[in-house]
Amino acid sequence: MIRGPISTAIVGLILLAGLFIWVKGPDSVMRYLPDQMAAAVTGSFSGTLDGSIKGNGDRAEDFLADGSAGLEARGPIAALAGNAPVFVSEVIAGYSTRVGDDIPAEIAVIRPISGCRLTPPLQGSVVGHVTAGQDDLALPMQTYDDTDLAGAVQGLVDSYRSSGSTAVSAPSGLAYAAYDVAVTETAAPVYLVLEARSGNLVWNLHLAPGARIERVVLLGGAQVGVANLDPVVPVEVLPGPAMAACGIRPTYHLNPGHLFFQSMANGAMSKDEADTKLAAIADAAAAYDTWFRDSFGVLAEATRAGFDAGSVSVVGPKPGGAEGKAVYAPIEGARIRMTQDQYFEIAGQVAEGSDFAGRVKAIATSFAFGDLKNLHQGVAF
Amino acid sequence: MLRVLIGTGLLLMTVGFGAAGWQYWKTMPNAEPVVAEAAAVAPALPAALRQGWLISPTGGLIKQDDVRAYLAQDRFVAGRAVWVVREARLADLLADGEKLPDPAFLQVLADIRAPRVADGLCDVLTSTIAEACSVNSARVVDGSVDAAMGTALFRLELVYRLKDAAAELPDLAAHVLQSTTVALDLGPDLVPVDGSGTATPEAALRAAVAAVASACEDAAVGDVCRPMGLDLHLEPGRPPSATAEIAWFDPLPKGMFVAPPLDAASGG
Repeated sequence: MIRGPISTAIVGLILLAGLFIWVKGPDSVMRYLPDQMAAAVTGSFSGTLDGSIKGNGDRAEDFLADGSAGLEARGPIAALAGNAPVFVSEVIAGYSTRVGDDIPAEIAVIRPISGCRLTPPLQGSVVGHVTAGQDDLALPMQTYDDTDLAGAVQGLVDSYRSSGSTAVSAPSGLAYAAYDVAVTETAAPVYLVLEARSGNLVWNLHLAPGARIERVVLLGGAQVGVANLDPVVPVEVLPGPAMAACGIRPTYHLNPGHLFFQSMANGAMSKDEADTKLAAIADAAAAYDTWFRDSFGVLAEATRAGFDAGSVSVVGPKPGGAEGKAVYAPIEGARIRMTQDQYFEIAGQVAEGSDFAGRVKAIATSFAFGDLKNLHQGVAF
Repeated sequence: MLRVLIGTGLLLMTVGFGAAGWQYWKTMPNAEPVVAEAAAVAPALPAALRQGWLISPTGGLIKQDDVRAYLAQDRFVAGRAVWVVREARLADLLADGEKLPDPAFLQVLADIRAPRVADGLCDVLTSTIAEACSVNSARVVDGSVDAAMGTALFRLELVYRLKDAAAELPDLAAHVLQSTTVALDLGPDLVPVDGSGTATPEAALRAAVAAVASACEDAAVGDVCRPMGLDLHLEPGRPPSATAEIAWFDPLPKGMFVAPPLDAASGG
């Protein structure tokens, strides 16, 4: 007799849970899952569950995919110099991917350098070159400007006019992502060149005991920062647009499994066209290598540690034992030096109405003479 | 990935519950009998307006959208509209004491307040050919905001109902609906507002409406000529231009006979 209502309640709960995840996003659930499972579900370590790994998964190489968009970390692996894979657990002690709720203790705003010349490394220091591509470790911090707000106001207007919805959808890419850099080099001071491909990124440093940082250079990206760095270490920033203005274009040779070579193989691109494009890529890569060597004394491609999709890189050798591993330093409670756009906010620490959605609604309401209903258009036919 | 799984699950559950609900609904005993006479008590339309089809000059059926645009003058119809592209000063969109926002917001401000640009145009229509008029859409043209000049282009759509729509229509089954698009001569009296070639939109629309009336009086145009749509361009740096689609009835061409529609005969 009561079986029906119980079944209905169970199905209702499932529906509500699904709706909750749908509305709040997978991150709302991920934080309660163990690291490995959370990473597997979100896809960053998907190889552990989706069967896309090579071999039986007991070697780090098994989790590195030669994908159509570049080299992809499909498991808990990090990139060593030259993009050799290594298990994260072999280089960082206490590693965690749960950064979605990490609130830093102190944020210092830094500015990009003026001009194009960066301070070169000192004699005897080791240059560590890390590149970040696609990275899914979103932090609860975001930054944006009036253009982002205007775009979201237009989105709200379009949405209201088509469906009557007043929900504000923030554009993707406002949040900072975290990228972990393990420094296991202890023989000499390390000059870090951290190169972001795009977007907002915070480089989170994890040092092995005895590791010293001489200077940090943040290349590329939109708004970038570095966490868990000694405040006396200087940081220089040359963001993506500034690099472009200086004529610096980070370019690397394509991996064998890249879509480009697939297009060549299946005839989607003629050989002449492909050769021309490959030659252009080779020229650009050589030019970037030259600029990199002139600036830092090493070649970009040979020293690069960073897959096209992944979130951990290592500067220094693979530790022989537990004592040589870098120690994980969380973003929670960390000191961060970062560049910011016009507006900056930390999730949960913004006054009501002053967050992105609040600003968008306030602007839309103001433009609509104080009432969003004035946005309505259209005649009932 | 997770969202796709959840979405698929929700979809399947929705389909399942929907099917179950439908089955439940179908097995319920019949509710109170529906008042079948409801439709019968509605006021009967004239025979000509009850007909929902018109014949083209080649003997085919006119598209339903066009039939409605021509015949259905008791309500607004999507296809029967006046489209106006015009430039306006952004300052004209502001309330008293208000200032223009930062350049990043000019486009969206213009889009939100675009209906203001249509003010006055409906008055032109209602004072000439329209029984009623309403602004159906008013948007800024993407990328048209000139922050330096403080101007933008706007695309406006006004829908209307014609006056004198109750005029006697001929036997629709014995006529074909003809239509044509005509370029309208807006005349030499259209005075530019600021010397840039932009005419006052109201004056231009009034001239366009008058030109439509002239086009309808052409000897080649048959009975009950009506404007189906009017396109008016008032972009800066170009002379004002307008086109209109007009439609009218001509008698059935010789040798053409119309088969009656396969409706049920009255009384069963």
